[in-house]
Amino acid sequence: MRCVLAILVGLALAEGFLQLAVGRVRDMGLWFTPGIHAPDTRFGFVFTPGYRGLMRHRDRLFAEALTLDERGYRQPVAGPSEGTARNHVVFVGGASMMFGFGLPDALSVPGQVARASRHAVVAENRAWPGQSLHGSWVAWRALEADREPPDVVVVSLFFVHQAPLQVSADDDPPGASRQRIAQLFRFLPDLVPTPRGPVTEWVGPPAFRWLLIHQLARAADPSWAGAALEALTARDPVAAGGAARQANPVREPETIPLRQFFDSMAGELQREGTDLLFVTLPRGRAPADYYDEFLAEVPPGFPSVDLHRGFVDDEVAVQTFAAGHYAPATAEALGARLAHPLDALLDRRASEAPMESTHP
Amino acid sequence: MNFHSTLFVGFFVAVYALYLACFRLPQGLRDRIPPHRVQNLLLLVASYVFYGAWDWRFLSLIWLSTAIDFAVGIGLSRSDDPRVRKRLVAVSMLSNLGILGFFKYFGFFVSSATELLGALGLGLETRTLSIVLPVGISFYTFQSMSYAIDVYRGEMPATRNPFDFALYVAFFPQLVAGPIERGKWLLPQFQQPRTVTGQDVQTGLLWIAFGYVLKVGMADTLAPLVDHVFERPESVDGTAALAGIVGFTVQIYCDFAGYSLIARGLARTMGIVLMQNFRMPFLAESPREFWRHWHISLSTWLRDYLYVPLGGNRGGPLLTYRNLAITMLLGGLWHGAAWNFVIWGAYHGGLLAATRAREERFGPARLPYALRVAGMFAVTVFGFFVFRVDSLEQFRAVSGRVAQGLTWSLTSPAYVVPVLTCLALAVGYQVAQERLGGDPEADRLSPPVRAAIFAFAISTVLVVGFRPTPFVYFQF
Repeated sequence: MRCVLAILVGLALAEGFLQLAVGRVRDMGLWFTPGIHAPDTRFGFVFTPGYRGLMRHRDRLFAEALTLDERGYRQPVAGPSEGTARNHVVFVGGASMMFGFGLPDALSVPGQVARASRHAVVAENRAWPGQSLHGSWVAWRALEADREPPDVVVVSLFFVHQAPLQVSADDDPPGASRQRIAQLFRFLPDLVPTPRGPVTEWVGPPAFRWLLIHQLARAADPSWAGAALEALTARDPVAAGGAARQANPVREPETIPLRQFFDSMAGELQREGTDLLFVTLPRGRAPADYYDEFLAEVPPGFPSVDLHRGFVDDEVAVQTFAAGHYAPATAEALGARLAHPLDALLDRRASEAPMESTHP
Repeated sequence: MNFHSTLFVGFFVAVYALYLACFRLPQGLRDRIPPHRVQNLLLLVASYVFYGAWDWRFLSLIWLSTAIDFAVGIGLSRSDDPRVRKRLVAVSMLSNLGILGFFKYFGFFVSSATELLGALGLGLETRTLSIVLPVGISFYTFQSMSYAIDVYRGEMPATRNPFDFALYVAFFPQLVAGPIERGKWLLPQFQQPRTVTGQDVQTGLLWIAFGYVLKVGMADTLAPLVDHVFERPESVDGTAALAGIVGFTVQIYCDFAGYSLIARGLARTMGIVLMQNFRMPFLAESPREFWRHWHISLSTWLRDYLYVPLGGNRGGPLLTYRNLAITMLLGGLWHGAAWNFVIWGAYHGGLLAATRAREERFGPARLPYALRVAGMFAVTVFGFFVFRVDSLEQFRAVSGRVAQGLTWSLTSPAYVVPVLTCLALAVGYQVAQERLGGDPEADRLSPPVRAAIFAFAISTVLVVGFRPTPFVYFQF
């Protein structure tokens, strides 16, 4: 009996050691500290409002603090230009590149734009990692329907997450990326890049978060991981709805032509008095004409900037870190290049509307 | 074939099963060949297979070193002529140090000389040979050489059995990273009949289990964290940088002490006792005490075969300081062909000399015990910081981060908590060593305590799993 108790004590000590030492280092294998995603019956998942954690990457134990606002978006960044009247600029699309994975708010592309602009700009980053342009747009419109319209919306495209000439017409934000992130487990533990199979240490009832129980049980029986999902969905109706929606997509997402999507987007914003700027984000070694088809669909009269072509023509290397995301130097260069057309747009707005801004 | 691989586990289980089977040889065979002789042959073959799994070509170096020192031993046993004996021991030293020097230091000295000449404006075009460092060469050459010196000094008789001697040089548990054994301790164990008691098996398994915790659970856990701090210091703050610096001291202890403990445990399960290599180094109160407790088999080797022959402390203070400095400088260089190891050795030589000078003048330190231990730990950490960096730029970058100040941020727990947890467990083990007078023998622990330790160790290793992180000391 004493030996049995001693074994239990030994196991408890092992669990404590694993949680304190091994678990914390292994956590660095996740994109984010656990909890950035929350199941959602409407969207499948959303980014947790008020989340405070770290962006991380397993390659180098890279880590950077991240705080999301009450809607699940990154913090706004105000530029250094003086003036009480601020121009609110919203950035949608561009997935994790525009989100600025690995970079603090001020060093992400929107933050760099705010810093480089001649105008007093507040940059509001509405990009989400893993999110298509369409998903980003729909989520922003839904989550901020009651807010005052911004002065300018920068629509950016990074082709990695979507087909070039059409977008999902489904109002589900994961949209095209839903196919990539097919199952609840793939995103709930924030473990997309980890090739260790379903890991449930970070989800489900507390018993599943015991490293010892979980790992040994899974080693003995791989189906154990599925038990965590069942236990989670059995007691959490929101998770159950999210799981069902993610795991069983009943139909392929309907699609509409890109031009139609852009037209509807432009129409909505024009009615609100918001200007629109289309930009492309550099993609490594892709040819200069990589985004030509996309830019051809931009409605006439709306400005667009092919930042990718600019980088290729000027032979500017795209520096990356943290699994291929823009490094600070590239984000800074992009911010500087994007600030020029944005300033021109804001100059025009200022000349057309002496009141400068609707946002005091 | 690393200890922390499933291949090695299978290898050892197979060898051990055959080893135990030797005790049950038919009586007729046992009358002709004693079991320990068969076991020695089995272990010798297994040792060569173990080493050959890395690179079979370098087996020839082991055979060369073995043949030379065996022959030197025989020669010494047959001659009373001092001049002949001196020549024989010189052959052993020159051949072993020659092998070591060529494979380990040739490139370093050529590149250093080229850089020096270049700095003096005498640039030379050199084509340095790219030489692979054979695993364990620093360990088995020292071990083989110490045998010849001991026989020369008359401290032990020369062995006349080449297989026993070959096994002494190549015994697989300690072949590639020590402990650096002495002939007068290990050879008699090979030459005499052995028994394997339940106490041996339990103690051996206990050491193996905790050795794996030190290596797999702790050192390999800290390795990526430490690597990150040293490779990308610009991406961490002062707190994380300091955690990385302290973390390396903990990592290298867990890595090397873990290896030594596994080696001792493997040997012990076979009824063979290897010397203790680490004993409470983090509880040392002074540099002298630290070197009595850290890598004991190397520090005693350097003491017996370098420091004492240089004159030790017999020639007055200045000569003593000189001898300490030379010994530690060469001890640093033993670790590797790089200037950071030389500086690390000089640093410890200076510390030993300074401590000795202070004690001779002012007597022992009167600080409280905790302060003495903490102070020595800080000094140790700084030394291993120098040991770990590969350039002056890296030293500046990492120390510059610490100099910017220690702040607590969201990232801090990810660095600080694992380091402190592993440090606490390492210190806890060292306190247990102090209480039990060394690595714990199974019979000194009650059955429930043994059960708890096994449960802790086995479950930890199973959950963490073997990772392909090599032992730090394999590169030496």
